[in-house]
Amino acid sequence: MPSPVKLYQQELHNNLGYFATWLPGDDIRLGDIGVLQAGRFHKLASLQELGIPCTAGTSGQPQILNYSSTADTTVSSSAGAASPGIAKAEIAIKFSRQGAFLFQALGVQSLDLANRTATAAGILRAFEQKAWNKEWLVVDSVYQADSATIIVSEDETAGIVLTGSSALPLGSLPLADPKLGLTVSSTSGKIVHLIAASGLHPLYSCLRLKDPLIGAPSVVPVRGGSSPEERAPAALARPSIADLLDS
Amino acid sequence: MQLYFSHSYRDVSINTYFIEQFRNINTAGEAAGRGEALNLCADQKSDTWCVAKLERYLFQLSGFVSVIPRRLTESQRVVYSEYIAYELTLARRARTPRLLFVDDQVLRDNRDRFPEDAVPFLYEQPESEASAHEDAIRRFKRMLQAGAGRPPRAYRPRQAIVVVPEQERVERAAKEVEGLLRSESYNVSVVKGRGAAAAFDNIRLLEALLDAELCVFLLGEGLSFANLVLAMAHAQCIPSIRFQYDPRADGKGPDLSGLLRWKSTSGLIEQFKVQLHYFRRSYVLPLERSSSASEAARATATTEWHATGRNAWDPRDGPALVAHVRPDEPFVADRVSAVSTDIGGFAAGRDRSFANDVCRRLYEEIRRRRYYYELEPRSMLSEVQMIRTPNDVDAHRCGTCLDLACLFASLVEAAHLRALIVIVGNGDFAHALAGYFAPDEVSWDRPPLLGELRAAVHRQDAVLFEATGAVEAEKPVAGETEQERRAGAKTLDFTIAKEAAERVLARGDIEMRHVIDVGALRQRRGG
Repeated sequence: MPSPVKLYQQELHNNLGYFATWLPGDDIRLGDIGVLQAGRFHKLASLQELGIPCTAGTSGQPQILNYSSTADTTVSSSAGAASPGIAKAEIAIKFSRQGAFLFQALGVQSLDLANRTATAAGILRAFEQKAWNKEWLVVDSVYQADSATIIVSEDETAGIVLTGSSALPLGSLPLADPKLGLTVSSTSGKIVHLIAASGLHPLYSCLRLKDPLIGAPSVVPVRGGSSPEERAPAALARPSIADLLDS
Repeated sequence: MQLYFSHSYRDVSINTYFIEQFRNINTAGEAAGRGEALNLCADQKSDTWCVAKLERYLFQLSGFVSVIPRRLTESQRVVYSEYIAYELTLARRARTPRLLFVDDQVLRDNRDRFPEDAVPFLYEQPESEASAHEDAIRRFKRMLQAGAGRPPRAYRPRQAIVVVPEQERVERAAKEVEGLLRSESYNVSVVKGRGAAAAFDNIRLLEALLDAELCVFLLGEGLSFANLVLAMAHAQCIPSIRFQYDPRADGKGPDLSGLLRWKSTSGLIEQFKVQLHYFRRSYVLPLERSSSASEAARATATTEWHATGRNAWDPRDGPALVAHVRPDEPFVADRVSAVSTDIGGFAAGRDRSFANDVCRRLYEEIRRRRYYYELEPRSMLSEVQMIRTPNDVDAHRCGTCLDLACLFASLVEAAHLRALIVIVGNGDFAHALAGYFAPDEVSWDRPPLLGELRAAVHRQDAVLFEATGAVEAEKPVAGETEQERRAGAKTLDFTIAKEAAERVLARGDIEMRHVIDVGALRQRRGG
């Protein structure tokens, strides 16, 4: 049976197409070079360190990402606002399977390689100069979040109770919002949690050199014009979720 | 009483409204025990224009009802269908009792082209003048009941006349036509003539033409006896199939007047078979087709089409879709060539914004043609879907989401971009989106999963758009809103078409059926 972490990573990938950073607090940055080991990205170097172009660009507007393994995650809150003089409001999250999770992130924006052609050409040059290992991956896109709450159950049944310390009523804001002042008041079972943590990179995608043994050789059309650099991205491919889960 | 219903297939909501009007009057008539019902008879939509069949209808039925909506040209000018206009001309020539409902703007702009008795309707809100339309239908009904309708044309069933000039090539072709008609159980008379003047005084020939179920005219080189006999038959609205010998004939279908050009006997026979098939096909009855007027209008507007094996696709076989991406079809080549000229050639840029500009222009090339969204043609084959080729889409002026996704994939591939077709669905629906991979996107040695495609679209590594956004749809097809359709005069702006595709892809209740990376598949298949 897949481990809870694999279930979490598989489900997020099925829906968002990105790899989930594990542990959620791991610092993965655009242009990092590394390998996948036991479901984690293990950094070895960076594009900057190898002198390969790495320009960051953003795509889309900052957004809220909210995803839970719905059937196996229940969220319930105690009544109303935490007004002065009244007991603080609580929110209880219960999980009923391994790998069930709650993922909420605010101010999420993806950072992508802005000049992929130049980067790909640099990687190919590094490979030819034996400065790039064929097994290496490069992070080509990361989601950075202003604030995120990520809770993953590692047991069949687990739970966590969060207490709000602000006057704001629970439910009025996402659980990732630091304004709620959430703290963990109790847990049951084994749980990995980050509550309203700032500056996370919870999701990433990466590229590897394409295995030259896969795919038929292509014929280059006789038309002049295009440079080898323009064809460089075609030498890269995207690892599958199986590459991450089986690592 | 049976009335020929001349209408524009694409305007389902307008047709629905008028079908409903006739149904209401019939229902009221039945309740009051008054008079015979008015039955609308329509030609099932097909890709064949058969004037002989129209001529047959106009003498066989009691009257002619035409609904003439507006068309927008590529420059947004309001016009109307030349085919409906020709049907009206035939009806006027045949002196068939008629009732015309004409778009008010079309009528204002073309007052001298319509008879005085045309009744206007508002294109956006025909129901706002429902009582005037109802009155017009009741008046028309009373007029027919009072005897204005003519008896059906009297002719000898299965009697055919083939008229030819005395020219060796044409006479050889006439023998083939005669043989084909005989094999279809027709009694055939072949009439040859040399002198043109002889045609005018041959009263027995005129009577024979009037008695025949069908006449076939094979015109040769120069003005001949056959041309003059055809002129007489034309004036009498006698059902006629017309062929003109032309050494430059390109095998295309008939022109508006029904004239088919031929240069070889085999080509002539192929076209004749199609014409004969459609001539003998009976009309459909929208009012009896469904209790729902919109369903009746839509069913009549669904193309009856002789799809071939090359149109069939097994929805379980995603990679087989690549065979329906046809960048080398003339229609595709012409559109792509126009865009290439506009942008200074496809080698003029290689980045993402250039690719987006190329795709947007291709989209607009289709959008300005004002095609419309339609269901797939019916098929006798089970478990396959018929896909219109790009040329079929142009000929039928309509397509399904899949027809249009294949059309755009053809255009995109011909424009040297990495064409993409995505099919998503669940138990209740399946939908095709079109798009491309960005020029600097990496290789995919396997089709992306749904999540991976969402991520690729988010990174703009892949661009998807709602292919039906380029054609008119009466209501939202997939991810767009009614307001977005309305704002685009039933179509979608390219930016909105991309947003609509993203909404479809983001739905939580769908799964990925197929992702067709056309170039990668062709490479794997070695072609």
